[in-house]
Amino acid sequence: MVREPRQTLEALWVRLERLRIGPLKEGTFTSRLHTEATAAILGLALGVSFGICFTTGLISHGIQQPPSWFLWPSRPFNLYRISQGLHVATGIATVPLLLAKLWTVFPRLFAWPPIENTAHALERLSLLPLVGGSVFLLASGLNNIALWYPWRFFFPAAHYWAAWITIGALIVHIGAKAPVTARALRGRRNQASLSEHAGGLSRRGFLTAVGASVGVVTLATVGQTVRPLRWLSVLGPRDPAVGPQGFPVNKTARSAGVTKFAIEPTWRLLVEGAVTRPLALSLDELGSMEQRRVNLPIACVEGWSASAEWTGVPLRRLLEVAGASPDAAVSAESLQERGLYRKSDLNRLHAHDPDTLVALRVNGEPLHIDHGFPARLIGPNRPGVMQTKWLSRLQVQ
Amino acid sequence: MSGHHAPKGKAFWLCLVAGWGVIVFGILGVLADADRTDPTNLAAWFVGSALAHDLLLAPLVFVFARWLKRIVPDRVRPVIHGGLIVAGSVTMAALPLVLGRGGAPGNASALPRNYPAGLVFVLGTVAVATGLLAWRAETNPGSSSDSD
Repeated sequence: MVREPRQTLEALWVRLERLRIGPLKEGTFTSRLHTEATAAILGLALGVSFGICFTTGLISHGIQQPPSWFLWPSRPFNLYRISQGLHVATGIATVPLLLAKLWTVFPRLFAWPPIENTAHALERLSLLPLVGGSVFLLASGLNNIALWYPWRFFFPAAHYWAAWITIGALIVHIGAKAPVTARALRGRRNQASLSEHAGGLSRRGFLTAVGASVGVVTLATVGQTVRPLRWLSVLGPRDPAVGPQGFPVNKTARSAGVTKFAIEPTWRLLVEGAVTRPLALSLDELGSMEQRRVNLPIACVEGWSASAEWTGVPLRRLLEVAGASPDAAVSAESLQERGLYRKSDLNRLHAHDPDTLVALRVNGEPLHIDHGFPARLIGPNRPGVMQTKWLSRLQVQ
Repeated sequence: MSGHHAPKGKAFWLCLVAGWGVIVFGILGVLADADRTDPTNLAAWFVGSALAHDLLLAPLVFVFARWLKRIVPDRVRPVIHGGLIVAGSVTMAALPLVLGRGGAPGNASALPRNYPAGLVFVLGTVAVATGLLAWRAETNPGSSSDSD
């Protein structure tokens, strides 16, 4: 006689019952916090934080490697600063949430029977990309802002694709857990566990501690982008007031290998490509053109930002003089000979925004060489890596 | 928490298919971008992340909590747990900075602070706050956060 597969499986677990040792034994985990209700509340919070990180991450990726349909606007000028500041701050705030969630559901790793049926097996299999991905995204992101690269892959590419894998696994997880979460939040279960007293934290106490953790890690770091809190952010990877001319630098002139070329008196800014009058302007010639002063932030992909007052020639004025088309896009190239960020693209909105400058001065002084002397690009609503320093050529398309 | 956890229903199967579709998209992305993603190295870090948590960090926390149960009196234990949750979270989040293995040589504006001192300051503040709450719990049992 042939038995149903499910019966066979159940019989198997019964036979393997004697293997239930260590954490597989009933009653190993005694805290009353390992409940669906605790997991549900933390799960919802994580859903929100992962949603914010994924969306802001996609935005940052899209700006730097825009698909043909994606036209990132140059306004509002602060949008990228907020979006990327949120990406990093939310990632940091997710650390306590994720640790608390994994702790809450840890006993489920040893649930008995380990597999009930096909759906259960597939759901549990999906936990590997979920847990591996979540921990990896946070750990690699934290390492990246600490400028520590103990791996062989290129961080942005790995972080980006790992995010897709993690979000896929999260979709499976939501599908599996939505009913449990809804039930737990309606409070039909676990009421008994609230009234017990075993000398540990109550659920409210536990969630308060997790919330306090979120607050503490945020306050300790967010001053790297929220300037008024910089004195409090003793663990901020950057201090928006520390650096040459009073704000941070990501790539120094020395590390970009431009220290010699940048101070050559023969330096010229070339405006070439789809123009009727190609230009080759010296620093003096640029300085004698009408200058514009703007207050714009450097907003780094690593989540720090700092505002400064920039003075220079509006890019669209240069395009006008060169006779470029009024909807031309531009590619800005650096003296830097190698490196991923030696060149940045300006779509038509960025190229023609009145505040996009070829900046010559910052905070009233000529640019420090680490800030891009003799001239750098600065524009509203752009990632710091796309505010090309040590400009050498504007290629009009 | 045991038995009958198998997911079911149309929504689950739909999410399963959609979710694995996205996972496969991500894996294909890793493979197509192999020059930059170094798939073997990335896979090792990805799986290693899950193992580091499940086999190392989590067991350590549970063993530590068991030891703590023996040495900390019941009445203040909730407060101590709360303080340790905050302290542990901050430590984990700050670890790459505090270890000080990263950096940008020649760039004084990168990682400009003294991170070990920063962590000590935060942990000290957490310890003082925890101490005050524990003292309150000890002297005034009715007011503990464990009353709900």
